[in-house]
Amino acid sequence: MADMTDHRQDFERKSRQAFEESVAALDGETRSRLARVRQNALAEARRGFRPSLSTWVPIGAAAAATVLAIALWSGGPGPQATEPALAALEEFDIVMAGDDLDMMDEDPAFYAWAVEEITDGVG
Amino acid sequence: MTGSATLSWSMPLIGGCEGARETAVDQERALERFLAGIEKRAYRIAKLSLRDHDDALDVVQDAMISLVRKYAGHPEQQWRPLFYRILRNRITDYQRHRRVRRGVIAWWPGTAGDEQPPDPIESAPDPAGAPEQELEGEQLLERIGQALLALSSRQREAFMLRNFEGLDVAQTAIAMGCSEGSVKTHYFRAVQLLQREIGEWQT
Repeated sequence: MADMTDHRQDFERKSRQAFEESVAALDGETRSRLARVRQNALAEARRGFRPSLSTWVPIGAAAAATVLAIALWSGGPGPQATEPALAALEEFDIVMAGDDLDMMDEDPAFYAWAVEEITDGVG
Repeated sequence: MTGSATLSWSMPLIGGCEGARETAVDQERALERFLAGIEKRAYRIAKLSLRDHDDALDVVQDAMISLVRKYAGHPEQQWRPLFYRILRNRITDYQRHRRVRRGVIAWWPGTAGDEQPPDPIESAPDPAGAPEQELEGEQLLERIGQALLALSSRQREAFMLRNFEGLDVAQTAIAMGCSEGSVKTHYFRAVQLLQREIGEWQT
């Protein structure tokens, strides 16, 4: 049993080594083409680049914080003035919720609109 | 609204926009580092699966574009299994397309003999002038590649992702879109079959 395990581990090690050697031995032309492929992919993404969650969250957070700051600075005269701030905080919670991460990645335009709605609501 | 309110209104947004730009630049740099680190390994895995140099480059590029477009916002530690999941899907698409194409060509009168499957020897890099060590490594991997063809696609994927790329069981499960138990089963079976095929490495 120990022999079989040793043989298996030896096989795994040798096959991994063969793969690593083949990666290191890639010819210059293939390496150049891969570098171009990488640059093409990044350029393609930039052409259709819409800011991802990591870009929109700071914007959303800043907008929500601004709404809150204005509402608090204005002294909150009554329910009507605080409602937009509370709604903005709820929107902020939705924006920050991890559950919607995939949706946010797929539809950042929706969240851009949501941010706009928050700031417009302060009016 | 007073001047101070205006000031307090505008500053967070300006700071937020600049911060967002820096975040986007940092993210792009991280993506480039990631892709630069993975491209050669991904190419090797794609070529072992497709046996064609140009097709391998195509699927690697497709996978890179998809990852950058759809998953750049995911945590960085998820990029590797996600990238290989995309790559695996692209490879499957290519293989399916080839089967359909061969089926159509075989059916079409007069063309059955025109299209030949790519010759792995012809598509291998030209060894002329290459150091002896490089040639030996290439030949070893070529032998493994031939043996891998005898496996099922799931066994082949599990072996390449676990052994060649070094993904752990959980990461491999994400890449393959299956359970961790399935990964272990496929991998164990792959190793058994490959050992039998490449018998001299058992000693």
